[in-house]
Amino acid sequence: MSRKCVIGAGPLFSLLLVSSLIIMITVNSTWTGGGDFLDGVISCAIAFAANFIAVIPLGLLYRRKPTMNILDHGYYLTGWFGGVLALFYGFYFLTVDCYYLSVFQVFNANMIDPEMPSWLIVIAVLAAAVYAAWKGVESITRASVFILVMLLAGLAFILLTSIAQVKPENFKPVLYNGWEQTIRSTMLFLGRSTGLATLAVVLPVTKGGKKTGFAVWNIVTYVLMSAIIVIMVGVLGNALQIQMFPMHTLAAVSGIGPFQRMDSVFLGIWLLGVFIKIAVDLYLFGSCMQRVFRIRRGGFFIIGGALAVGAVSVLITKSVALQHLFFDIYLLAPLTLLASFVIPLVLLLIDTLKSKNKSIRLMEETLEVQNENRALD
Amino acid sequence: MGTKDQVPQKISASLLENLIYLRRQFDGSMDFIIRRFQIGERKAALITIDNLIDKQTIAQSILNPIRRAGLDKQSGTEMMKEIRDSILTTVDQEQMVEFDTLLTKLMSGFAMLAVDGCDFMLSIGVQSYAYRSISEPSNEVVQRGSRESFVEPFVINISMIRRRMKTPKLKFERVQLQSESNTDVCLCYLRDKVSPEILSQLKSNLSKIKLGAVMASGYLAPFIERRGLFNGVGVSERPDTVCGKISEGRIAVIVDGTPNVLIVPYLFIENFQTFDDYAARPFFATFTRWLKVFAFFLSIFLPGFYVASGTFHPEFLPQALLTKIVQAQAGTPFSLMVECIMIHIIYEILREAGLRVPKPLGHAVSIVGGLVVGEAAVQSGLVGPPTLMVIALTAISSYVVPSLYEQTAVLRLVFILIGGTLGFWGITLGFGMILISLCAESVYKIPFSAPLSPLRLKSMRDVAIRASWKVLRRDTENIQDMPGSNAKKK
Repeated sequence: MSRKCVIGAGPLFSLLLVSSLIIMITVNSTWTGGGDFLDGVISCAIAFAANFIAVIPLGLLYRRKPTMNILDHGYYLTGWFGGVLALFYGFYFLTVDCYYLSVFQVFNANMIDPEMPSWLIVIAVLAAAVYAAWKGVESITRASVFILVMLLAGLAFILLTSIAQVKPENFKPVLYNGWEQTIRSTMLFLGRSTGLATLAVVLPVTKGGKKTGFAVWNIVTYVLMSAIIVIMVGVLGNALQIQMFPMHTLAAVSGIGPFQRMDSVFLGIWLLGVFIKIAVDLYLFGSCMQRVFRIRRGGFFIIGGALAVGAVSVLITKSVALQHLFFDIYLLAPLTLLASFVIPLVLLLIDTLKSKNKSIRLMEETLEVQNENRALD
Repeated sequence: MGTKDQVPQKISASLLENLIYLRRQFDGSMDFIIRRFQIGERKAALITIDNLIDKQTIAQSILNPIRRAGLDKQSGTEMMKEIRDSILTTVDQEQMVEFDTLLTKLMSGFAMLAVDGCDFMLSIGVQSYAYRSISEPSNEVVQRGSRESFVEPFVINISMIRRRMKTPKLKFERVQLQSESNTDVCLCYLRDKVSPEILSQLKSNLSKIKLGAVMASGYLAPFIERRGLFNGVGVSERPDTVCGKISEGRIAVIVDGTPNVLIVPYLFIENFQTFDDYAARPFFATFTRWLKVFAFFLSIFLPGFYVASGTFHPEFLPQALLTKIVQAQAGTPFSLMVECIMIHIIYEILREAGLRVPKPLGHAVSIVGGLVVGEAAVQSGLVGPPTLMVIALTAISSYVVPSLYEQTAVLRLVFILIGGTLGFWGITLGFGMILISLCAESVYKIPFSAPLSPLRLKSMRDVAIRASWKVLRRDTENIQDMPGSNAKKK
């Protein structure tokens, strides 16, 4: 099987960085499980290290067969069960989208209170994302380079204009209340990151320095995330515990000269991030379904997936139970662990066993032939 | 002999048959001229199209030498060969054996010499027709650079390019289109710079064009570019700009009868690069380049953002500005969105009228548009002054990048509608969709958004900034070498 490389490593990791950045701007003390927000810096470091470990099975699988993605590996190594794996990945991407879109809706409803109905915004986001997904992963990754630049510029502006308001007394010792919150935050950060699952599907169609890209992506994510946490703690202090979207609050209180109230910048960068994230996930969902149903174009599935995401995300915003399920670590973290680490690891083990059996069989056959030859002599 | 529509392949040895055929083809058209004469005992004819030829040249370089030569007692073919090799003094001569090429040449201003008993005719270049003299460019005005612009006859345009690029590597290649008008189309490129793949793809695209008549280069553009919001084919009326593009591996498409030359492939970022950039000091060129980018975004998004902020997000505006807008809006009967759409459409009508109106009436249109409509609309309380100012500012901004005017005008209207219905969310998503549309397309296998995305830092010396010539001269970046390009390199 051969695939034409269509995306560059630079644009791909820009896309993944955009995805990571939206995770950062939605952290709050409720979801991290306590008020020791500064512990998040350690959680980031752990998540950073965990990502480097978690990528190993995926990297080894890719090194063995660089033209095959995780879906191809699934079919190749497990037969019909590969279809189940493809379905799992497809629905995993949709689940993550439901989370991202519902958080955005919650933010809109609580912070902005738009005059138009919430579903209209959902339709607009999904329509734009479907259009982007329809145009393909190449367009999405290229566009993400521009979006990343804007996102970084916006974030830098918000953070730099907030530095003046940092109060040293707001900083408390890290791990003051033990490791519990740190572990929870780590799970939260890792659970919301679909980067490795995305890599699992698109790695064979990527060209360029993947290792460097992966390292830069993780380092920049870690540095930015730490910077955001430190500045948020420094500026907002104890107020963090009652903020649902502390980054938005930070943007609203930051400003310099005539540039006051950076919340419009925050809204813009978040929306662009959500748009590009949903677009790529819908594309990946379409690819998974294409693989399952063996069809050439996944357009129908992209639209179907978008409708499902829209419906579920609206339901999530209306149900507290669903919000607990999706916004907490209990659903997304295990799913991400499965998609990013466990499945690639199991497939790697199967591949290793199959290769070993194959080489043993080959050795036995060689010995048999040699024995026959000796007997004939 | 074929009928009127069936062109026979070969020219007959009988002069009479040939002449009858040609007469039938032109069906008594008043500009079709046959001048019969005798060369010794043999009948001959000179066939021309009136007003496309120089009659003095015909008399001095064709008819007089033939008569003075005193040819006689030869076969038609021998006589024609002697005329061609020894008698005629004109430079441009070609032997015609087929009628279809003969007709094309004839209608391009060549004279056809036919001799009875000879199964070919001689096309002689005697073209001379009235054309507009070379003038200053009207759309691509520069401060420091040539004042010449292309004219309608493509041979003059070719000479203007050749004069600027004195290298044998510069090649002009005629392309035959499947059109009734038989318009001359010529590709111009540097043999050592052009990508063979792009060239063959362009030729293939041109060969597939089936049009009744090709009256301007704009007729061809849709067939040789990708479908999308932005142009993948550039247009220039400046020979120096075209030469600059050719030197980077691009191909110029020169169409007879059009004072514009098409440039293929053309990337998005090129819309912001003008000839003046390379003549000005680098720091100023960099400043103007960023100004152009800013003006482009301003012209698309400002009215939409103004409507969205005024309608849905007043908190995004500074209080003093918000107060002014609210005060102005209090006395007007329409919503901000309707006001903006009204003013935008009125402006577009005035612009269209200004383009088409006879020149003497131009001032009247300006006065009516600027003073009567604008002033009266505000005075009567139909629109608020801030709205008028926003649209006026964006209208001026849209002329900073004239090559993107079409897109800007439409997108501005779209974003007013989006801003008025979906607020800031809609504008952000619309922006995202434009980005995707930009990034989704490739022009002849080169990403339309290159070298920004995929990014190449080296290219930024002539994108994000305009580095000095000391830096730029080090190496020329060919179009096919853009990051993400799948076009084969030479």
